[in-house]
Amino acid sequence: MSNVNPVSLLPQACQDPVLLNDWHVVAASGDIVPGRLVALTLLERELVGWREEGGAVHVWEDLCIHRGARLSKGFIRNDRVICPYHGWNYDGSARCVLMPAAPSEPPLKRARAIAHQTCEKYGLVWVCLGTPERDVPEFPEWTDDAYKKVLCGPYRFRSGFRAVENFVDPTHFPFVHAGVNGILDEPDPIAPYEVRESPTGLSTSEIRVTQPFGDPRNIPVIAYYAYQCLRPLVAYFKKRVVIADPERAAEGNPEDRFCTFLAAQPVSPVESIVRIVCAMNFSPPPSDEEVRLRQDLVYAQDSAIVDTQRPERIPLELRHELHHRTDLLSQKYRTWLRQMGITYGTV
Amino acid sequence: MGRSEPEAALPLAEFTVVLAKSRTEVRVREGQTILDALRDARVDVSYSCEQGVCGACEVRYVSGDPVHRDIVRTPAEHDQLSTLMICCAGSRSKQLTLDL
Repeated sequence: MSNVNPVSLLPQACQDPVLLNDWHVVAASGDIVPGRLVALTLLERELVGWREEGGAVHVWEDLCIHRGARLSKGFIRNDRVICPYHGWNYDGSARCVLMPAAPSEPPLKRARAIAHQTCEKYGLVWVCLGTPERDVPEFPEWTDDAYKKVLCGPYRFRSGFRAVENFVDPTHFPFVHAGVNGILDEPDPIAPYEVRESPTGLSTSEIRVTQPFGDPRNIPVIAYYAYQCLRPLVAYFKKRVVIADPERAAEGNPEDRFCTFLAAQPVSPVESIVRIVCAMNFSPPPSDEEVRLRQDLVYAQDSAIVDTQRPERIPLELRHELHHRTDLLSQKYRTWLRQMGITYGTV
Repeated sequence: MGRSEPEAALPLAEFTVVLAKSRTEVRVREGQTILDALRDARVDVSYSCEQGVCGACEVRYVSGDPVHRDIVRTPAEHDQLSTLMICCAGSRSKQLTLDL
């Protein structure tokens, strides 16, 4: 098969099996609508996404096997992708069903688009370029009706790994998010916390921080973050939020939680697209706009700093940057990536 | 948080580190850290701060009597977990066997 796959003739950017066999987000579900071809990039592979009228979503190599033209420059007609060059028609099974230059002949048997495994979960489109070794990671609040969910982003970052590491770092809050997630003149000392490793990734015990505007309700809170690194480019936190002023405690309740599920799409070693799904069980719930406004601010503050980090590719050897015990999770994250054999996007 | 600055290096006599998995012995001379000695012997180990505040160089030990000088864990935690930080731990025993 590989000798007839034109993609195998292109230089392969990413060689890491763990990334090739993993699920990656390439779009929000709403970005791919029937009748439109969408050009996507994952690990420097150029892909095309499209959706049938019936709802099925497809992600293929953005290349017609005939002469290598970009399918995304073509169009869709009757649930078929039409190549812009010679009009070959591909249906949802990725098979070429019509070669217009020989309309009465059955198309060549090998005339197929190169389709990748695709699924939709949490309002996101996931693709695996190789053979998936596991399911898309769990996001328990997605199916919990007590939680309102809001998709935010996309947010552009340079390194996806640096973006994920930043997402699981509570010590930057007072500086990068001064007045929002932390207080510049009163940074919280970070108490020792534990990091556990399991087959589903890394998870921390709760980490306590003070947040003047810690969630869309804009009430000062004490927040207790429990982080998880679920996959190399997927992370999550669940934070328990306690209203700081006891006199205003009635504005919240002890079960209040704010969660974020984050997936970074690795476009190239130094380009990524971050999408997040926030889940919260506040009563009354904030509006979608209120949630997005806040997240847009926070992630813009993040990328403004994270994108200046050098080297742009994350160093996985701990000796190559200076760590402190309060950076325990980022130390474990880097060591975890290294043990998985990740080299792409790292130094 | 009740954690003090790392103790100044104690004048400990030299000792031998035994690497249990690779079955190697490395001598730690007076004034050297275990990390220094392992680097000299070209043993690949993880480390970062080299002053007992990050925890990157934590390893488990199998036997011996280490002296802990880091602020990442209390000596009691180290005893319970059988761990030490090779950038700053010394040894009261002539031999210290590491799980390396």
